[in-house]
Amino acid sequence: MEITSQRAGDFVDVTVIGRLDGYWADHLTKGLEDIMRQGADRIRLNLSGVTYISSMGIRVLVQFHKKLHSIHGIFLVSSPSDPVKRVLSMTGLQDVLMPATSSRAQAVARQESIRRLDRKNSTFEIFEYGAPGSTLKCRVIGAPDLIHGCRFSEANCRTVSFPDATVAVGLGAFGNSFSECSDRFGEFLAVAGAAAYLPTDGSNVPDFLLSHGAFVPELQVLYSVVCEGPLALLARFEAKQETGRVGLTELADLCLEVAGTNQAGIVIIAESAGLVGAALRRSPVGAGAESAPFGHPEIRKWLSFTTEPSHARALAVVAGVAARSPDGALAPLLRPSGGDLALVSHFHAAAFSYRPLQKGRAGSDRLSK
Amino acid sequence: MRFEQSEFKWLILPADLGSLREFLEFVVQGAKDAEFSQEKLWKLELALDEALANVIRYAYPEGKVGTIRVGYRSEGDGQFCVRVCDTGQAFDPLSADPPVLPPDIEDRPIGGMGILFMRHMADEIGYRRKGGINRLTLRFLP
Repeated sequence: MEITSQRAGDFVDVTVIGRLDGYWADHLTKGLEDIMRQGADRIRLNLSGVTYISSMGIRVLVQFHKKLHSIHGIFLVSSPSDPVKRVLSMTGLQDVLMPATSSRAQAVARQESIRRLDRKNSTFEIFEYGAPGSTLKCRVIGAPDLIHGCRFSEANCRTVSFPDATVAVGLGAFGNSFSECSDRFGEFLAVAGAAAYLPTDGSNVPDFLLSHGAFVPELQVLYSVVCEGPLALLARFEAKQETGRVGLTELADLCLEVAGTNQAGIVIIAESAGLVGAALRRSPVGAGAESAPFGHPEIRKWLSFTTEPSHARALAVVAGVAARSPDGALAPLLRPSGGDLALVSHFHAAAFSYRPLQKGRAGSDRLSK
Repeated sequence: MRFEQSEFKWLILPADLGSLREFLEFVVQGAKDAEFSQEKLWKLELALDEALANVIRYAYPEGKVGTIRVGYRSEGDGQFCVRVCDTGQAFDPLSADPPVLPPDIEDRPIGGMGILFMRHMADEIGYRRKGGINRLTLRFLP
């Protein structure tokens, strides 16, 4: 089987030549998945060169129609060969996969006003998201400085809820009291009514809570930066093909630029080319060691580092704050971002199995799912 | 391995996707020799493909390497008969309910259309299980 693809306006035209049977169906599945991962949400499959299609081939067509429909994309079949046309007709898929005119595609043409930006490694589409002039209000809970020496105690712990319109990162744990959580406090992030944290009890298994009805996730928090209010902008980005990836600092810099601000609360949902970072290995409570957790040699006991980029091709949710300079209330938890761009930031990331993202303004709905 | 048994011509291969093409070519060549029309060849290939894919995917437990035995014969009245035999778990495709195809594609299951194809393409289908062997017979009329 031969699969080729090329962009044609909003669509990616994919031409398939060969047999679409049980043996080759997986090959096409992988090809289409790769095309979706490159950002395509409108795919037109030219099947004029397909001499044979079985139910396994039909399965692939139905599967990708559903996948793209779920992200408000479009999946069409064009120029089917006679055998393909007959099978589509037999399965009642002809009208769905081959609408009589392109009116369907036109009907769902994007009506959104978009500002486009081109950067060294990536391209961006910027959408107004919140009400005009809306601002995210960020505040710090607790005393982040107590991480130096791991000096947190019961007096520094408080119970915090993380409802829908909240973006937060910090150290905390799911539980009812400080004493219940004291040996497993770890990094957490909370976005759109969902909270996830990595316990430091040695299990290394992340835990999460989701809002449901009146239930709102709640954590015992040692410290946190909490940003409340509507997100002002949505920036949809794609890495350029030459580089295939875009760095976190570049993204944060772009967010600050388009928001016209020196500090921003940021949520990123993206396919990961690789996550690089560190996580606490032990609960930072009453350590009694001044150089914990960042001094040498204690750092080895207290932090685990990714020795190489991890979770490639996963769906990463990254939340945090970034600033041009380490001033103001956020200063104690801002760290240099590295690279050529002089930014300071604090981000936490959670990795999920890959799923495609909806393009356009509505893509942010995915955050809560 | 090819051998003659009665009037059937048989081919036995492992029950994996890599065997699919060889089975199909074996039977389609037999049907060509019997001077089947292109239309009939297409129907035959689709029906057999679905029957084989079903056995390959579901008949044997994961990790067990089973085999499939496929035979065909031309019958005197212009009919063409194909037989698919395996020793995997019993499955009678005739007992399965015909798949329901809701008009809205979003309501459809992703799979499950193989049996529809088989029933649609073959003129007659027979199933028998005896001595731990599944025997599926597909018959195509002239």
